[in-house]
Amino acid sequence: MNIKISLVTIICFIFSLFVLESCRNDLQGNIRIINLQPKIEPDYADVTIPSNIAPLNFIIKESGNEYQVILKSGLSDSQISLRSKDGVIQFPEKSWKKLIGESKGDKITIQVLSSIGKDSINQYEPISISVANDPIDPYLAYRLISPGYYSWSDIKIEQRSLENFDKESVIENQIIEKNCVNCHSFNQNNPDQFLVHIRGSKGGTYFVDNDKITKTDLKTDKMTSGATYPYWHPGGRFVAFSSNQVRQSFYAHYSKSIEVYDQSSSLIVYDIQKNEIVGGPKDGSGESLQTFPTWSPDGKTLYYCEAHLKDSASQWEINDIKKIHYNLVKKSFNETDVTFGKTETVVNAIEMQKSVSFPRISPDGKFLIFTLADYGTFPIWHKEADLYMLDLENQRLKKMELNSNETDSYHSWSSNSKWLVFSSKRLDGRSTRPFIAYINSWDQIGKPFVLPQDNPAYYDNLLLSYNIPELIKGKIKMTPRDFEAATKYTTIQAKSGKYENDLPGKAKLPKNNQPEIPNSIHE
Amino acid sequence: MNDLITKTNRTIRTKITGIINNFSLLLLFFLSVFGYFFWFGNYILFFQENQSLFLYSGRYFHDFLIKPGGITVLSGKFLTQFYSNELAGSVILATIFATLFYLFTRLFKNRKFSSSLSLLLSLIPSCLLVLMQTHYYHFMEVNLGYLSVILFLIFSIYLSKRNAGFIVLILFPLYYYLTGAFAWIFAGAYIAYSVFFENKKYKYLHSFLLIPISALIVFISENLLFLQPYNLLFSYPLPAINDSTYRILFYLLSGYFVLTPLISKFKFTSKSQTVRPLFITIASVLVLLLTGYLLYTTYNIQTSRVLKTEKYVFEQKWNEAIRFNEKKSPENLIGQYFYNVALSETDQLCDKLFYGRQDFKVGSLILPWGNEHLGFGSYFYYAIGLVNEAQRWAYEDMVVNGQRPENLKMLVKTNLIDGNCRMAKKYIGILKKTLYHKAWAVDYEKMVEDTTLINNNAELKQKRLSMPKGDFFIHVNSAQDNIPHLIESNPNNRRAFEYKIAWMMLSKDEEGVVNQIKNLKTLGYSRIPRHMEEAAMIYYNGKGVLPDLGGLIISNETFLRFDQYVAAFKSNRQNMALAKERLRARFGNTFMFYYHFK
Repeated sequence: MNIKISLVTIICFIFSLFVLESCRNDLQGNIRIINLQPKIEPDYADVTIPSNIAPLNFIIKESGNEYQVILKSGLSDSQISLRSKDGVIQFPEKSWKKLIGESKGDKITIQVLSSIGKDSINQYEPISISVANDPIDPYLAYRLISPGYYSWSDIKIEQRSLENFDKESVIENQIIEKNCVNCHSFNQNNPDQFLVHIRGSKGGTYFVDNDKITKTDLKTDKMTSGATYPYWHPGGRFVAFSSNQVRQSFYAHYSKSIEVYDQSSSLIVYDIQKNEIVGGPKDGSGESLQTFPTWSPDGKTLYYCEAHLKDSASQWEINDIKKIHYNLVKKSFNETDVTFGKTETVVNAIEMQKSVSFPRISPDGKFLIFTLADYGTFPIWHKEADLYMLDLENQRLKKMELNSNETDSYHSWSSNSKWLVFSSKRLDGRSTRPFIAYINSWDQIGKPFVLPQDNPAYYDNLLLSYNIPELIKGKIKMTPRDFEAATKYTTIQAKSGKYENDLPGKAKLPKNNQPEIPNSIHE
Repeated sequence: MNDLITKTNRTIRTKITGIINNFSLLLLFFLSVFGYFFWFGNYILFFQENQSLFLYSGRYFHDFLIKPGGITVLSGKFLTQFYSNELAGSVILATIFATLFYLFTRLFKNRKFSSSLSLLLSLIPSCLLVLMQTHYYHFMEVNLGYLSVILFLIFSIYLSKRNAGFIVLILFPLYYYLTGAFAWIFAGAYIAYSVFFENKKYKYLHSFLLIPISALIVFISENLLFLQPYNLLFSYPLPAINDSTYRILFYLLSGYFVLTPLISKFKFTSKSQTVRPLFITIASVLVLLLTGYLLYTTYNIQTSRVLKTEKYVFEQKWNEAIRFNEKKSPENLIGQYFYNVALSETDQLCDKLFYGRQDFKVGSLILPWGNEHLGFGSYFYYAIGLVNEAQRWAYEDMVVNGQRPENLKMLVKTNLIDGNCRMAKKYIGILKKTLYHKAWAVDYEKMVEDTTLINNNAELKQKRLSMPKGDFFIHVNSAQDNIPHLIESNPNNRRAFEYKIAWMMLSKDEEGVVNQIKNLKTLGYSRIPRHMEEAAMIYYNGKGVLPDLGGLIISNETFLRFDQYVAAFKSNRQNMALAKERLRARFGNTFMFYYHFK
């Protein structure tokens, strides 16, 4: 009897020790201070995040048998402590939200410890992350594609909550006969008003207005090509498009892959109310290539990129393409009679021997960010492409601090003008990932961070690219089946309205021997 | 008592004989199928294994779990990965077909057919499926689909006999999820069974219910469960092969499955008891003979040769590819294209171009851009050092046709050569999740970790040295125009030079060829390649003077061969058709013969 009791006691004691040990979060051993921050992937050290962002899960890339991470708020006593055998750190969502919610306007610190051997622990310099007061729009919409050449297979437009890891398809081409889907564009970050192009057997421009989808054909008889890059007028009645004849060539040298350029391009404005193409802002001053329209937030100015071409007798060889430089220009716009003023140069990239693409103005009208590359109009394939910022009040221009040694390009603003999402190839040099940066002022730009994922190794295995990331104020209600149904609607043909000019601008370059690409792979 | 014992013994002997006969036929069937695929049809194993990858990863599995029939396809791909080993692949195929055979015998035996009749009736669908398998686009999932139909049918009959047929209706949606459109074949068979065998009370009930259940499943699948196109919810993963013979076999086999209950209903009269065994034996033999005959006639020797060449090329067994082509030259464009690639990779293009067939003139040097050539076109560009373009082709192949061993390996190598180790690592990561390509991936991973090893790899180093130094846009539509640009950009690129010469030879531009001989020494040649010597002799024969040989000489062997050719040509010149046949045997592997007769 006594032996039995003793045995039971011993077993209970051992069990309780085991339980107690499991409950303790701290690694035990002699601590060795390492005066360096630990290497983590993705790199979230010193970034600035919004208070409503999903957990920044990461992997510790330091040697160790076991790891401990302690996340602390700078403003409260909240902390999260996690242990991991393989270095993968995934913060519980609720705890994360609470902690960073309490840290608005201040910092959080991440303390990393790694256990080396039996009793030895490395303690690294803490990583700090700033938590901004300004929230970010809760959703991000983007296209997922293979960053490739001619061919495509599965393409989808997805929306991802930035506050957690939920994501849903908005359009999937596998249920619309593998048509190409591109150029989704939202009116003022509004998920209930946007458009998207579908190319192929179900081709058309699909306008979404709350729960209604309208399928239109924006190519009129007067146009040599269809509507391509869109931008909504803030009033919601007009959409400016460029109409581009796109060509594509492939480099033989390993330093570059693809060059995409316009054989011709011009701007058109589509009046949604009247279903009319009302013409573009052509000056008639000569042959030019016009592309990437963007409206000012007050709708009174249209900015766009323009290249003037010299005569060239040669074919579309590399040296011809390298001569194509786009300036950033603008024209005033009168909404009442739909007329444009004179062209004014905003950024003379030609003088810099550079080329401007994707001008985007913050909703508060203060800043304009654009991509600058050495030449051409498709910077996503240019490693040297970087983001530049123009102060519209003071006309200051600078190369932004958030750039990397790889392509940094397509960008869009949050509705509160405080956050910028842009496409960057800095992780592997090939696939674009959405990076988010805090733009507090001209001088205060936060270090960008990659869109966090539940599995922090997600990007290591992903071959697809995130294309045209756009921040939106809420969730898109349309589903892939809604779009599938819409592809069966009768196509509404846009009319030619007041169209002051002839066909969209034709370049004087001779006919290109390269085949026309099917508009499938634009990034 | 003695009579009883004798009768019992006879029954036991009959049973044992029956079992031995059944087992013998099953074994014979198994060995025949195994033998066919191991010795003759192994090109099908190679082809199918190279069409996709089986990855041991959750994300890979997920893509199959989100559609009806995906699990059957996933299972098929799991088994297909073992085709890397011809023995394993043949055993798997033989086992699958023998299992089908066996299950049919069980089904018919339950209907109290005699053993021999069961065997005959089971042999027919098994042989039909074997014949379908000879088409190289008939993948394992189709076999598994049919296997699942017969399994579920046997199970359903078991339940029905125990008045539990309603369980079939309950399980049917699950069966549809597992097997996709094979559920419709089962439904047809089960309705036939219900109509012919169920009690009066349930005779039409189950069939009546199964039809609307099927419609409801598709409706719910489309609208609520699976984001799949409507037509695929109806047809996936049934084969969609556009071949009339295959389609006939498919309809015959599927019809056989559906009508199996009806066949089971058929009763032989007792009058034919004495005649029946003979009839059945003859019928069985006829079925086997017919199957054997059809296997023989449908065996596509050209396809097997092309795929054999392809296999050697994928394994980079260049000399084997060359020897095989010289012995059994394929008449197919891809086969001849790969022969030329193998020659180039071993620096023999201008020595042995005409040792193999060249039926497509310049068409077999460079494949035109197009989806049908995506899996092959990169090899030419890789051979001559246009690594960027080789990478593009491999990438496009991956996007259009999915991840395959060869396109991923090409992407690994080209990215390593380019210095883009981060992307190489991604592709390596995919291959590391496979069974048979992991070792290759681990090997190449070392070069990602230590990039100095890239230049220690002879192949990758050679490609780096061959790459263009300057830049130009690739000519997509007239790919041959890339060669002069490449040579201009990297004059020491001998393989590009030899393709240029090969292009001229196949275009019968002997003057263009001989004009290049003077450059050979600069390029590091110590002798004139054989076919270029032959071009020089044609030139000499016409002009009376040798071209500028740039300090090199024509070999005595070529002089002699040319003299013999001229003599033979002259003596047969009255009948050119006859001359061609007579000269082919001795001189078919020369440029002279191609020049005059092709």
